[in-house]
Amino acid sequence: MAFTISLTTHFTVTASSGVAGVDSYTITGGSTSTADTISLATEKIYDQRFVIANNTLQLLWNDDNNVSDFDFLWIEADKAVEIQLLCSENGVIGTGSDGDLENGFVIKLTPGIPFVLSNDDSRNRGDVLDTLNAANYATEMDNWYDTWVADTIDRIQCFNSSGESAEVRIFVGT
Amino acid sequence: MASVNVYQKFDFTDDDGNLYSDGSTSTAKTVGVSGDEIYDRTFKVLSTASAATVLWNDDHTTNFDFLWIESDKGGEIQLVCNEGGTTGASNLVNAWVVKLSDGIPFVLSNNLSRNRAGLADGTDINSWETNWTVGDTIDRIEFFNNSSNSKVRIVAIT
Repeated sequence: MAFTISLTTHFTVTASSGVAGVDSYTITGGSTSTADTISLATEKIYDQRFVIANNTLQLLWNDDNNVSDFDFLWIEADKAVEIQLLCSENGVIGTGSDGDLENGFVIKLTPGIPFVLSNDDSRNRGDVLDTLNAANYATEMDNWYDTWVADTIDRIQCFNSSGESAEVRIFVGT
Repeated sequence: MASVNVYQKFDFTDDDGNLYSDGSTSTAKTVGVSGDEIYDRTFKVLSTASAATVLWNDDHTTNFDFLWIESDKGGEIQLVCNEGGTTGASNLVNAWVVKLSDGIPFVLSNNLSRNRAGLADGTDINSWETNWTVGDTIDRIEFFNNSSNSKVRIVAIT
């Protein structure tokens, strides 16, 4: 039996008229009737709902979990919280191919709008030319396609500074 | 143009017949847009390209309230927050790579992220909620795919 996620994604927006000679028009993407499918390598599901107090950091998922990687990720919050995605946790600069410096990035969620990924692939920062300094940091960021190394997301945290408690659902499938 | 209507829904049924689902294909979530600008462009990117392709930066639209990126042949995107920021100015640029799957869009409902500030004590990545500077924005997005020729659409709306 193939284990697949069915994912439907669609947007529509109508640009208003109002500028002389420019008509209103609509653009769209995706579909509400035809779903994309994402294959799961195994049938492992991690589905958890958190209530996160204001000014609190919460670990949503990491690869210590029984679900140690993911082919599909869905995170949705009822408040405007932030998530941090971390790739290659505890990775260090190292030398040459031993370099796998961890990388992290923050995404701000809009209440009720899910954040979705269709795999856990990202890149670590490699060896930073063996020396972490401003010049190498900037150069390798600009040449990321050549210097950063394919790796995976292994930790996701959530910080709630919305002023109220936030409810957050994370669903992970692999 | 006051808002973008967004529909997202997933379904998964395990082999015991249990259904996992969320979202809706009939009820839209709305993303408010503050300006009246749309950047909608489709790129053909060759696998032989020697460098990443800039899909968007804040010279195109100064920001975005909604972002949609879809590629027919996967590829990777790099999101850059606070391009040109430095430790000296305590607003160090940050960046991240997302791997796209064929035909599955990557969606953001705002451009907010954090820069890395001044790297005060070397442990900032684990205490990001305190040390990274809140409220900075994504200002450049690049695309790279050296395994297939790709057709990539990006829509940024503000």
